[in-house]
Amino acid sequence: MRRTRTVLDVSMLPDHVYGPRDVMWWGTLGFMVIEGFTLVLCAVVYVYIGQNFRDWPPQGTPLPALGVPTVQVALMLVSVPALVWTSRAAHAEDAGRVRIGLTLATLFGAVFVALRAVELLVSLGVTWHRNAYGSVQWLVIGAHATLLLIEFVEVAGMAAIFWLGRAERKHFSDAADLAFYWYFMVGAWIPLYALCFLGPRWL
Amino acid sequence: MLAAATLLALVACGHAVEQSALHPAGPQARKVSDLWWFALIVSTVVYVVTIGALLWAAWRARRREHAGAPLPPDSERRMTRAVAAGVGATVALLLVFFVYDLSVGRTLSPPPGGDPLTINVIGHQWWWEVQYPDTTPHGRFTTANEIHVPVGRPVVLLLTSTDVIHSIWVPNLAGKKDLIPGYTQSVWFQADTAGVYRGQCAEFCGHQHAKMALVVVAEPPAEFQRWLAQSRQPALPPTDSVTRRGQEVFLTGPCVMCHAIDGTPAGSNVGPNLTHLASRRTLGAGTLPNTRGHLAGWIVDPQRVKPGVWMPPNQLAPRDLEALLTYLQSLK
Amino acid sequence: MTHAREVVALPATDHEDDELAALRRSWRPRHRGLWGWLTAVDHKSIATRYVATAFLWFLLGGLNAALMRLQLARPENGLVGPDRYNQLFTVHGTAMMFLFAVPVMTAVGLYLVPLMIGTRDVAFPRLNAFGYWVFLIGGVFLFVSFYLNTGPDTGWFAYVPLSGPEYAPGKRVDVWAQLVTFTEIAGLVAAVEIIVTVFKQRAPGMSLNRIPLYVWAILVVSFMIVFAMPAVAMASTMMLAMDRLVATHFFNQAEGGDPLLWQHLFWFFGHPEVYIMFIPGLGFVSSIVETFTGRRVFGYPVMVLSLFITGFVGFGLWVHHMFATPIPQLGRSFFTAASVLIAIPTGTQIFCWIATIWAGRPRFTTAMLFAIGFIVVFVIGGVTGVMIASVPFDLQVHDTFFIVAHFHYVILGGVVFPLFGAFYLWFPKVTGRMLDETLGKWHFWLFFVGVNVTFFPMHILGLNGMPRRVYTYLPEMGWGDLNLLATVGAGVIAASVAVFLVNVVRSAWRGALAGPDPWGGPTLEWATASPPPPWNFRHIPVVESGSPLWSAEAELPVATGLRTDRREFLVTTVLDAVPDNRHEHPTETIWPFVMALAIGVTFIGAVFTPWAYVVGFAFATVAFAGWAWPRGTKPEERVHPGLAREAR
Repeated sequence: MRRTRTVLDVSMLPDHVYGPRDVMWWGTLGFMVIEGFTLVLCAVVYVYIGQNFRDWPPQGTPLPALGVPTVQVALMLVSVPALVWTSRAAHAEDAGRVRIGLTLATLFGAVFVALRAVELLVSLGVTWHRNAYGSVQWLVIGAHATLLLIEFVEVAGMAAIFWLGRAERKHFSDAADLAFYWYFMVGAWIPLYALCFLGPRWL
Repeated sequence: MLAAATLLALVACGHAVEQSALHPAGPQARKVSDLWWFALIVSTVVYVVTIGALLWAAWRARRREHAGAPLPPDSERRMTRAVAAGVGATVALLLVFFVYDLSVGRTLSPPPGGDPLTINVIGHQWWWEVQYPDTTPHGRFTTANEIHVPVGRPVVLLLTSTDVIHSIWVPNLAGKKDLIPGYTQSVWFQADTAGVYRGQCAEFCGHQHAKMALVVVAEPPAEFQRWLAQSRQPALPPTDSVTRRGQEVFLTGPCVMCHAIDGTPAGSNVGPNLTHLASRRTLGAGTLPNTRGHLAGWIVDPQRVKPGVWMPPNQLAPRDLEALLTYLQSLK
Repeated sequence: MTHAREVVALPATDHEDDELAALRRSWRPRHRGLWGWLTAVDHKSIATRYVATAFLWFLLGGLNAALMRLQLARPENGLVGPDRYNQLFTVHGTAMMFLFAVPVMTAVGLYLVPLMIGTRDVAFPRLNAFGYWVFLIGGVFLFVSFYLNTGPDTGWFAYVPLSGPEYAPGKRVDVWAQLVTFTEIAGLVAAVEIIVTVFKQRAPGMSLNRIPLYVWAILVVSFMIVFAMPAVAMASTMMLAMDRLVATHFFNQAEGGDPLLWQHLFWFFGHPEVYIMFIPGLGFVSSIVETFTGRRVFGYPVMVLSLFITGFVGFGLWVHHMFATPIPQLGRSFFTAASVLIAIPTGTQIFCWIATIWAGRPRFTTAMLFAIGFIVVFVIGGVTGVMIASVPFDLQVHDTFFIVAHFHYVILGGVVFPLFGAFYLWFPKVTGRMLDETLGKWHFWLFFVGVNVTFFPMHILGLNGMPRRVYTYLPEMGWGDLNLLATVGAGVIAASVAVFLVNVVRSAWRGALAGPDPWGGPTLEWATASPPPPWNFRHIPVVESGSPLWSAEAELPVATGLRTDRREFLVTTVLDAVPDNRHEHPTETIWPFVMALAIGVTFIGAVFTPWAYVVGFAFATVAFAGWAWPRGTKPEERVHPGLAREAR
């Protein structure tokens, strides 16, 4: 082995950091890119299949109802400030505020998942096996539903960690990353909402 | 170089069956064949130069080291120049190839002028349905696995499929085109010399993809017209007791469930149309020569010849089989 | 041997001994035996088994190829029937693409990247272990299904409608669709690992212009994986499998679906896949050429740029697999142009290597022979690749043995030759022992001859009308002799692989000891012991040039100060690799394995029932809880509500 000569001492560097300084943030970003690109491809499939039809939705298939999906979008937008607040609390390392914020997020998440089930089963008015229109509607909305489900499980778990007094300092950074993912989840849905629920009316 | 020489020697060999992109029999295949020879020669030169440079560089470096000589002082500049020259030559050659390719594509892709003959080809697992359309109902007819075309006249094939994706490829005449369910595509070619050109399915389509062949028979216009006129006729009614019995076997047995013979009640198009079976060259989509023995073997146990084929084995009494064979062989 | 490092035995001071003992205490695996194996997180342990597993699939896939060659040796041969043959070639292609060529490359990356950039592990070691387990489950699933006569049989690109519910009843295609899911999950995980590791964990001073070319290559590939693999994962898991399982209509023409949509999605992944396979090979060649010419590869910026251009343009070629389908003329010209263009960056790299060899002091080791063999073989695949960019020519040879020849030249030349070379270069680092050079030369020459004898005749067969994926052909076609020759060549390849296996086993057991730096290499992996200790580097090296071991004087500059009483690695900034923070590395855990089992239950179950998704989600939630739940082993890190940072 070669002889070494010390030119740097890194012992004074912090071991808790936030955002792009932290490797976890980059991992979250990586999976957001993968999921985001998958959603883009889903939308491309939607448009591609749509071109095979003269009418969209095809004759005999009802238009999707707008009520619940629009409430869902509104709630998602309302949830964003709550998560911003939670993220700030995490940066301030305020465990009391973080656990309130995560509880709010868990409630939002549960409502999103429930409303998503209503959107698929009621608002859409078509099953996946009726025709290719039904199949792509379920593809796009269902693909985004997996994001909702996973984020719901994660914020619920993180809330439990904070409520049960198991949290360690690194969980503040994790909580901030959950908020980061939340913005992506909401941001991705808005164009998809327009595509799946407004598209059939306006296209 | 050795490889290229071997290649040249090998492609020059003749073959019993005409199924080669290197023996063009029409303008389509010829243009592509010319493009191929051009590309082969250029590629061989490029390859020899590149590998030569590699071996030379290794040899030089080694000799320099043995001699203990230093690198030439301007070596960085020489390397930059050499790499730049290599890249420049690559770009130039690729550009030439691209332009040549586009010009070939441009001459080949538009539909032919003149008065092309249009034929519908429908892919099935694992045979080809061939329809000759006509403005009058009695001018239309359907055959299978054999396409007759007149020499010197462009032919347009309209392609589709009823099941999975197939691809028609008769390399002596033209490149391939896919037969896709729900789509209709066309491909055109022209045979300049009379002959029998074999082709086969090029898109993997299941069990018997390997034995889904067809022949294109290019013949002088007069001969083609004779074939056309004959093909338009329904099958002749049986003339003697044996063929009568054979037709009975056909019409009362399982055959009629899938096959049509025009002029009889048999009208199913699940399998190939057999109206003029005896005039065709092959059985089982280009798999067997059309002889009485092969026909018998095919009818009794097609699974032995083409395992997985949709046609079931047929247990027939020997006399019934003989009668059926005689009848089918009378369908000229 | 100017660059050979002398091994300096240092008089160990007490302080250093303490430090080493502390590192050993913190980093030693927590468990032994089977449990230790199931809970391992060390990137070297994971990557080594990853490579070995991928190599096992390579051998099994190669066995399929051998059977195919035997069947095709004579016309109307009766060794296997079409039903078996169709499984043979589908499983061969599927295994080689999804279970060998791509994973083996990312696996080698997972081993080498932390060592070459001077860090202690990948960014997410548990996620890394999870990726391996998913990959293993997927491979076992494919081969067990195949040996139970339920192997997929519609080709490795599984075109609909042939692979759809109507024409492929039974479970064979479902096995294929879910195998793809497994491998894509594993591939995406590995890609994220590599990207984050390269971005954030490079040794201090390793700015962008000092990153080794191999690391650039695997980084570019990781980005390609991120954008290519979602397409096929979506198409197979969410569309094809769903068409088959719950009667969606994505590809069903009768209900408005479209069979061509499958081809677009598949090739949007499938063409970049080719570059995903061979770009790491280009990286290997750069490392080999650099090490064995004793000179930095000429034209570093151009080399890096070429990798990026290849990666980018690789996404613009997919339609050249679809020239025989209805595609507008203008579109075809675009894809021809892109397909021709992609030859330029690869050609540029080849010229740069040749220049490097010319200016260097080449040593013709086995690794170097494989690098040269790569150029000799790969360029043939490259020029035929340019030929088939031409639409009219492609329409003649598409789906024929010409294409089979072309892509085997590309893949064997571009992937397997560099990979074997990499084995000879880095085997001493991994095992501490040298591979035998005499056996190595036998291995090389047999492989070189075998590959050419097998695949060169296939060009001619294709031009002479032989389509690919045929289980037999008629005697009168005149294809018998060349096929027999190809089969003989396959035998030679098999012999060379056998020599290689013997060499690996013998050398691992009693090969010459390697020492830390047997070749006098330029990059950081040679600055540590062979095999490297679990912490990789006692002190994190500080990088001052692109070939740090060559430019450093007698002493290697290092950074100290990482804690030794726990596992820690150094995080640096993305562009200039300035030290920024310290990150704690997790210890051994079983939960990645449990999570992989949950994924396995989900997707294998989904072959039979859609309820598997419900059960699997519940299972995965449990596994996730086990994974993320704090063990409570660090009371000093515990936080309490009401104590904000300001208050502390």
